[in-house]
Amino acid sequence: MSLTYETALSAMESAVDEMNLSLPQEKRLSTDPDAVLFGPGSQLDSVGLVNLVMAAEQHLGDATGADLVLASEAAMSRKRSPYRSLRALAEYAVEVAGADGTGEQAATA
Amino acid sequence: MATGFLLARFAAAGDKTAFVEADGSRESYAGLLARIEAAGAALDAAGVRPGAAVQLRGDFGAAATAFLLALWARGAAVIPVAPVSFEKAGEFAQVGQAEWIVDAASGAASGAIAPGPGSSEHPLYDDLRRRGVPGLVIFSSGTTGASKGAVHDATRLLSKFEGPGKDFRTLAFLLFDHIAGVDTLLYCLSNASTIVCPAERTPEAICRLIAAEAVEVLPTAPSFLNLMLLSGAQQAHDLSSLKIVTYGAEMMPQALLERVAAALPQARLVQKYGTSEIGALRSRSEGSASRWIRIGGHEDGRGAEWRVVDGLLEVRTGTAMLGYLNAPSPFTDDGWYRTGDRVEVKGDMVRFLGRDSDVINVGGQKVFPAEVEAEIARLDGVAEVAVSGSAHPILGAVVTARVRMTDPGAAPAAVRTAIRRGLAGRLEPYKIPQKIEVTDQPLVTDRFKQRRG
Repeated sequence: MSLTYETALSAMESAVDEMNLSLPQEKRLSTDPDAVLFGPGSQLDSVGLVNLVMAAEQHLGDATGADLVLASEAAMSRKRSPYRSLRALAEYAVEVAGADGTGEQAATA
Repeated sequence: MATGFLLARFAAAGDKTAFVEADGSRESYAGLLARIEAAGAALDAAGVRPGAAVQLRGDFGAAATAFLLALWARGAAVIPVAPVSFEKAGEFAQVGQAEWIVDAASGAASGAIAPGPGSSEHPLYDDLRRRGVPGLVIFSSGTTGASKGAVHDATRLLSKFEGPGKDFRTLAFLLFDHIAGVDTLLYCLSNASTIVCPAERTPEAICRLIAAEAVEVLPTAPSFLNLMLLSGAQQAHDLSSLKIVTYGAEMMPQALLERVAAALPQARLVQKYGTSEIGALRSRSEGSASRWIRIGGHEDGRGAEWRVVDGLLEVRTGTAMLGYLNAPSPFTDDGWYRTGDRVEVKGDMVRFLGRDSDVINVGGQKVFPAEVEAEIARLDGVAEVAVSGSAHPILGAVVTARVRMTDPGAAPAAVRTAIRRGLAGRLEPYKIPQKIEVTDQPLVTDRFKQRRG
């Protein structure tokens, strides 16, 4: 399955937009692809991170028709976290999608 | 007096720092003693009678601790409520028959005591008063969504700490109204240790605090350790002071345990076990990278016994609660508590495999599907809902809601937003489904059993 970086980033932005609809003004997330998503200075707490990652998986699914897994032991064991920014997460999604069609294989690669 | 041995130790500790408060200020053990006296005087002036049921709103720090110990010295049944549970404080005060509400967070020592909605009447409170001992009420989520209040004899909890322990600078990461948080507090107080109170519990804030205050013990949860590694906060701060990291409350994946052990090589990783009903048990991990633990040590004659029945752990211990305020006794006739935790056994050790019930453990917080289903079912346009847990690598588990709307054409993204908004303020954030699936299939089987899975 092919997923372009632009499609992935657009799905990430949709996920942020969806999250922001139910967040108070001061907690809203930026769609700047390079803003810190999860890490020092970020607005996200742990439940927020999971919400965002799952919303991103759902929007990627809407866009591609495939189930992509962005939260896995493999993703978390990376030296550089894929959750550090929207850009990193979109790049990770492209990588997962590119690994022969299934997220599982990419995640364990 | 049940707290007498603590007060003697505080007096001996004198100028030693008892609390590094969330705002960074310090309170010594001598200062804590003075505050306990002032809190006691304020309680007496307000007319709080011995043996009353009193809700204590506050967090780790000298103010709430002073009221806790002053109340116990007056034989009160104390119902602590931490800031994360303030939205449920009214319900807890009702169920707990709180005759008084003490707000330790308000600052003013005497102005913070107000009459509560209750009468201090309950057979379990009568039992405490008859024996002249103070109590502690710990609330946990019930299967129907109503919280269950576990009534403890505070002297039994305190007796565990009369013998000497070790003095470690400890970060009060767990919650003031959870059994493990109270256990941490009492352990530290009984050894006149310094307790470092966090203003927030993000990985960045916690790691900064560990470095700044040379914290030696961090009692925490697997999901926090996972988030810390994900955020990279442990690399940005010097955590070399950490000697012990304890974790409990939820399943620790083996792979995560190994990553934590690699990231904090100087720290010993220790699994803890306890519940609101049986208290925090003594335990010892086989090793830092092992999930096998020995629980309920007998070294002081006050340990717990355990057995495994049909793969499920049962525990019998002197630190168990007297009973629930508002639910039938969960103990067997001969005093065993069925924990509902599925375990394997190797020699004298156990390893936790998961829960044998519908309960969903989201980063250490319990969620019961029925409570979430009830809230979603109230929302406009919802025809049916089924809530279940699914494993998730970041938080251990997440809450998944499958909903069928009365309008089959409703756009999934709009439904998800409407549900999240509808639940905000009605449920704690961790109970709001992290995953919401919209379906057009019926969610009830023809035997009216919900399809949760």
